[in-house]
Amino acid sequence: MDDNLREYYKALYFTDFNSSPHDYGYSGKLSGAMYAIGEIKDAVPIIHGSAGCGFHYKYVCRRGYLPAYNAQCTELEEEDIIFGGEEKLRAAIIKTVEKYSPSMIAVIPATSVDMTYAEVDSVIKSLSNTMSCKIIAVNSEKFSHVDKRNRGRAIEDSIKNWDGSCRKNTFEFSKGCGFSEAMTAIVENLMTGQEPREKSVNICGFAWGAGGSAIVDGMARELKALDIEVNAFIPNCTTQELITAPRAALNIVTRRIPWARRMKELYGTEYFQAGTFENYRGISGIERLYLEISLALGIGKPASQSLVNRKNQIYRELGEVREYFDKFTFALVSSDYRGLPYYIEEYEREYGIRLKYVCVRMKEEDMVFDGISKETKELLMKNIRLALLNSGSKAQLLQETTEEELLAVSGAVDFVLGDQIPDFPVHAHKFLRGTGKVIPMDMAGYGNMIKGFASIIRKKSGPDWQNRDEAFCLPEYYSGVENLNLKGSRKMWEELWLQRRYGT
Amino acid sequence: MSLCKSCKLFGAYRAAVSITDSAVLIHSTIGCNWGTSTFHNTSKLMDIRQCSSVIYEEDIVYGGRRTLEKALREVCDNYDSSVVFVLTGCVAEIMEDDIEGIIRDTNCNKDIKIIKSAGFKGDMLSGMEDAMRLLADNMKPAAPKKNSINLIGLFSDDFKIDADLKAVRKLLGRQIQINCVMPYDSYEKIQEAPGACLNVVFSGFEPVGAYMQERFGTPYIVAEYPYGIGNSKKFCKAIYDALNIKSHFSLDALERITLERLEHAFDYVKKFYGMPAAVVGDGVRAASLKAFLESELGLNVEVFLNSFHDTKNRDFDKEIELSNSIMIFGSSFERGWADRYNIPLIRYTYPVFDSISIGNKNYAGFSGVINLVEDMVNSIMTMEYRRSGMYG
Repeated sequence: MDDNLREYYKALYFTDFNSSPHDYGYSGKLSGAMYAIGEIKDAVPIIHGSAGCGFHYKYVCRRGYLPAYNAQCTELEEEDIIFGGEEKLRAAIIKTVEKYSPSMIAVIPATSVDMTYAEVDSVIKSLSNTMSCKIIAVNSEKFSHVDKRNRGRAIEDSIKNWDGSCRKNTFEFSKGCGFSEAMTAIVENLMTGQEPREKSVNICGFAWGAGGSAIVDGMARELKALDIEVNAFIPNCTTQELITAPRAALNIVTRRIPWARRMKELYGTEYFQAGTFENYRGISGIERLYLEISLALGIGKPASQSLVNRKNQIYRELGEVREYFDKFTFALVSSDYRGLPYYIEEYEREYGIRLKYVCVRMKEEDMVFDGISKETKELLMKNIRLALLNSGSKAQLLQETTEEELLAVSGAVDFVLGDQIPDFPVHAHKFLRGTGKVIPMDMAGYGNMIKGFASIIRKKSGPDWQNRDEAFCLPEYYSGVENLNLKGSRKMWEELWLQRRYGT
Repeated sequence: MSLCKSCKLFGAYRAAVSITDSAVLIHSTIGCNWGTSTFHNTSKLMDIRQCSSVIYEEDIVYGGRRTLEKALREVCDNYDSSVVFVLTGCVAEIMEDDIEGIIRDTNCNKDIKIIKSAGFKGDMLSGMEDAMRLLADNMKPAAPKKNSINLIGLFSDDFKIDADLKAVRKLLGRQIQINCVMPYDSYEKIQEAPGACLNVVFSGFEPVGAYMQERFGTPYIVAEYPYGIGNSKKFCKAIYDALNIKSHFSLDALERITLERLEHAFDYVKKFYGMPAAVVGDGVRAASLKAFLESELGLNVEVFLNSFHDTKNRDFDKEIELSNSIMIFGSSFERGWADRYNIPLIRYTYPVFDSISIGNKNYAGFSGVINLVEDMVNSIMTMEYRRSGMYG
């Protein structure tokens, strides 16, 4: 592996550059299914619906930089909705086989077909007997989208299940996720029973967060160091590799569980729910992750010693850097109320940074949007205090800080650690973007991240930065972004979304 | 070679060819002509005013007099130029022909200037300086015109130079007259350069400013290239202050318009914060661009190179390799690094030979901020990356 974080930054910037549309709406569930099928190297998705669905779902939300160029569409018209679109589906499948010779075709129904599904199975059944190409249909478990309460539930779960040093995984997305539907179709209609190989895993390539592709690459390296084979990244592989995916002894998944559970039912493949990277922050978090995976594979003991050795080695390598951090004073300012307990632990324990202030910036509108109740908010504050206590931090905790207070805080420390960009006018030479978004899940990568952070501090505390008397304050750039329509659109979305959330 | 240090001949050539009504005769072997024209012509295909004397083996043996005489006569006959620059390359200078004598004897009816510019005698910056000193030697003393300035250190083959100059004129407003852009102007205008009351010298060309002050008494200030909002304001303020005049218009209005436009990309701009990058470029531009990227967009410039100064004893290949940089700002030569690490390259400094800049898409001034941000965002959005799938 390189001694730098370039691949992490590339994954972060090149794959997740445009995320703001999510503030104003979510993609339909076809998007998740399109992602799953679009990632299969030799498969072609056919959207069974009207031309508009075929047009816009070629853009795959999860990987906006890479559309599903070959995606096909049955382009249903009014009469097809009334009399059935069987012939169009049949013709689309035949044409797709002729044109692309794919190993697999997945028929993904649009919402109009969800209402009149009957013809899909019969068409697939009749054509499957005549061609070598595998054809599967993605069944819709629910209409339109995943359960609207998921986001709030996931957040509450992450707050409630934080036990003082890590989070216990209990949350899983419920029915209606397009990705899960597509994966379940693959499990049920494509995979076949295999003799499982010891010390072999599948990694589910989905929803590992911003920069996830590099994070997962790091995981593969870490697993290799433990002599664990990655059988396949699923669904990011070939059709044949999907067919034989049950060769793995364990599936490593994030939060979309139903398909993994179905795979266990059908083929006996166990699964390990990693949740998100937040559960395993820091070198010790990474150690815990691979120990848990090793235990699930029945090789906990040998893996444990290897992990301890490597952990100690990384800590030794970081000794000098951690001493260097001691020369400076820091304030942690965050509006990421869910992440704060993790950040406190991470900075204090892993970086060896002594925080002087921790400032919580919980915006009421975000709380409402995320469905955080007053009780959960109180629990969160309790978690933050517990994190401070557990990590031995002497930081002063400031809640709902005003801009004036934040300016005073930034004046009293050498550096302000934030989420992404400051939302108060702190000068650029004082502000350090937090590492919340780039979290390698391999020890070497994580060590490099801390070293990289030290080099930023070294530079910003040097004469080139310190002698800049007019470093720009970033908020000045965006002070005007209080556009009425923008706010209105966000509010509309929140309200309509919330309305669905509570089923009213 | 990835750094644009180059040689004295390139510097002299760039100054000579920047004079819009000059002709350039490169007394050298043909490669010098080819290389200089390649980097000059990319965005100016109609602006070819140069030729080579085509020094050959027999010239090495018998001397280059005949070849140079013939070339000079051809140049005088074939170009409609106010001045002819004869640049001597390495071979010509090793031969030690009496260039001045040959020119005198040829008796051409053109104003012919010689610039001794053997590549082994110095770098590109030294060639530029020599050429501009020669130009200063041929200037005509004049009474300074009120509120007029010369801009010194801008060349016709700088990337985006025409669009940037337009933006600079707009930035300075009508109160300030640009007397001449040196050396990118007509020969007549350059000769009239002492008619300005202030020389605005871009970083790297301080010796030229000092020389003109010594010869004509014209005071000078050293300016950073106006990349970004902060540097654009600083640039204006420095000039207005030096001229002791008060601006009739508010830069705040321009700033506001810029920020309003940037709002359309506000979420992308925010994402630039902390992005690791490398900046490589000429002394006129590199430091200013770095300041803009760091102070206004929050990028983390991990590797920085001012090609006028910083090239000795540094292994930039290694520095870039070890860095986290995922965007490079530089010349076409930096494409090698961009390709190697599969990261975007933003071209802004000489030489650029794999893109053209013929429109009004400036990088300088307030509107330049918008264009730069736009190109940065687009370079990420259109990046070749994991084309066969996201994971695995």
